[in-house]
Amino acid sequence: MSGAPDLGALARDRADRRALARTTRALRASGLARVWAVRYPPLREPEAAALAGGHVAGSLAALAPPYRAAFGVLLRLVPAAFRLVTGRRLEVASPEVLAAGAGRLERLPVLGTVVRTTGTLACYGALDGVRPAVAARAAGTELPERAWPNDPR
Amino acid sequence: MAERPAVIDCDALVIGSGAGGAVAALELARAGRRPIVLEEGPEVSVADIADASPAENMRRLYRNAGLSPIHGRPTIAFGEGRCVGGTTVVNGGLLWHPPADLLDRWALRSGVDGYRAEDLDAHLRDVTRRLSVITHTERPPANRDSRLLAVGADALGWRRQDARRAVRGCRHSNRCATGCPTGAKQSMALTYLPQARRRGARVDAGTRVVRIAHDGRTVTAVHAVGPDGRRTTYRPNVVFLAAGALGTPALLQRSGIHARRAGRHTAIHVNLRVNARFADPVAARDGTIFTTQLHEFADLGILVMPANLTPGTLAASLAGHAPRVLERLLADIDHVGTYTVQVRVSGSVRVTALPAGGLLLRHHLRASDRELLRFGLRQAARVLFAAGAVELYAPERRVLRSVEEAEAFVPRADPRRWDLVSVHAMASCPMGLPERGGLCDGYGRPYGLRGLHLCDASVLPGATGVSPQGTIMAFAHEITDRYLALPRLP
Repeated sequence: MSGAPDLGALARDRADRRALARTTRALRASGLARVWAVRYPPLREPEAAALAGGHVAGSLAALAPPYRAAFGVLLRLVPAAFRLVTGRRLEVASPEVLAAGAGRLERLPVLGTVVRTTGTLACYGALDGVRPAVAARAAGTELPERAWPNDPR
Repeated sequence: MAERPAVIDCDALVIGSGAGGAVAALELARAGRRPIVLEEGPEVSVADIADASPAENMRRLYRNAGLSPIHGRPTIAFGEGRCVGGTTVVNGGLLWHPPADLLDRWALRSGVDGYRAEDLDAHLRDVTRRLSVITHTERPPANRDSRLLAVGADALGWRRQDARRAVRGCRHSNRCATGCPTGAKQSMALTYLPQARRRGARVDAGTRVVRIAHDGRTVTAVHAVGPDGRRTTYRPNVVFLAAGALGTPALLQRSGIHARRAGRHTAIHVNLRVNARFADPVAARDGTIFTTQLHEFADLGILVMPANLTPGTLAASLAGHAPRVLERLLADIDHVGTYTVQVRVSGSVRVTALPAGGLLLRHHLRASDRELLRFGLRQAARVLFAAGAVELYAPERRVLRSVEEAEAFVPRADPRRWDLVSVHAMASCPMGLPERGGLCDGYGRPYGLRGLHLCDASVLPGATGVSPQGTIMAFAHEITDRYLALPRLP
């Protein structure tokens, strides 16, 4: 996929790559990608879903270690919490159950913040994660706007 | 056996390369002091920014990918730059002079003089010239979101202000917040730092300072970790600490310097994002972040301004709404303008450095702050409906279709449930007399310690109410000038 960011290349050293691998695994274990596909229509396309997952994992990997670790643990708790609030397993739940369950998860303390934050990140990453197809023009040398009345130049 | 750290002797060391550190670096370099600048983040060129997606730039240019949480009700996301040039690389390029009456109040309250409007005027003129600051006027047909705000303000007879920005040849790329892809924005990475390098400064990117060593009276060394993980000990004659309003107090805490007081009462501005749908096309994606600000309530610390609009930011801000709302507004994005209500709150943030790395941030917003936020939302609704908005996407998943609906909703709204962000923190180590709560003197020196000068947003005595870059740079110029005027110790 041409527009997808190469997260591995962005990771500057081995520790970064390890952090990215851990958050990617935790995110996968959370099953939240299924929730996003139901709640956020633009994320239903596989390319958009991949960009979303990449941005969420990359962002969480960039957090300070204590926060990264906390997110990792909480993401892995999502399936159990989902089962508690809906009585259904997240990985086989119907779209209606997924939507209702996600809404209930979002109202929980702490875990709700994780679900809301990752959802917001997923939306951003899916839609603003594509590299520009056309190179940006360099800044102009002209100054079309007016300078301050008291501009000392 | 652990590798012994490299030792580097130098005259001047600057920690941080943003609006404060870059000024110190240039002034020290001009004085022939050949400073070394340590920056925790990477050095990213304009070409690198242009080639990457906004999401990639968000991850590599911001601390914590823009996700630093300020805990409390609600949790507020704090965004600050973490790259060579600091937040000036990812801000809107706004550059305001600090209001003269605010500087007078600060002088009276802090007991430190020499930072009034007349004292800073020469520095601000210098900054204006170096950064090519201009009044950014409209460029029809672009910037319609800004023009609509102006229409609404004029209809209500409210004050507004053209934006003053540090840009040269802006292409209106609408990507200011994730780094300018054209090089138009005059960030520290493109202005002060290259000038400092030409005069002998060195910038070490990817270098994280872990502790400032001292003997209780004088700074003796600075311990840092480089991009390869190698430890380095710097032994400078003087240190200018400009790690930002959160990073500076955290480093002081880790170094045992005023550890209990640093970062205890950090001032912030809080931002609320409101999406407005108009009947006619807005095409807000074609434009700068803003060219107009609503200043009618500036005395209360409330500004309203257009904000960067991309499909990603729109979707992210609507993530709590029903799927059909998100889908509909994305399909209609050319009719949408996004606006920010910025509020100077009185409740402060406490910064605590965590032992395992990172920061614990906790805010204490007051009931009066919540009232200000409600007031700001109400006024934003009034001006946007006066501008012709047909729908307002307000907090708490509410869609408002008239001023009357807004008036009915706002009194019942609870900002503790709103999605708030902050990009301005200040005054975490304020300049002032010790008996008035000051942590450093007029030279930026923490009381009781020699060889260290604080030189960034942390020293401001309070919140500016406007974008603080100009104020930070003026203070940094003054602090560095005062240091350079001191007699050099043998």
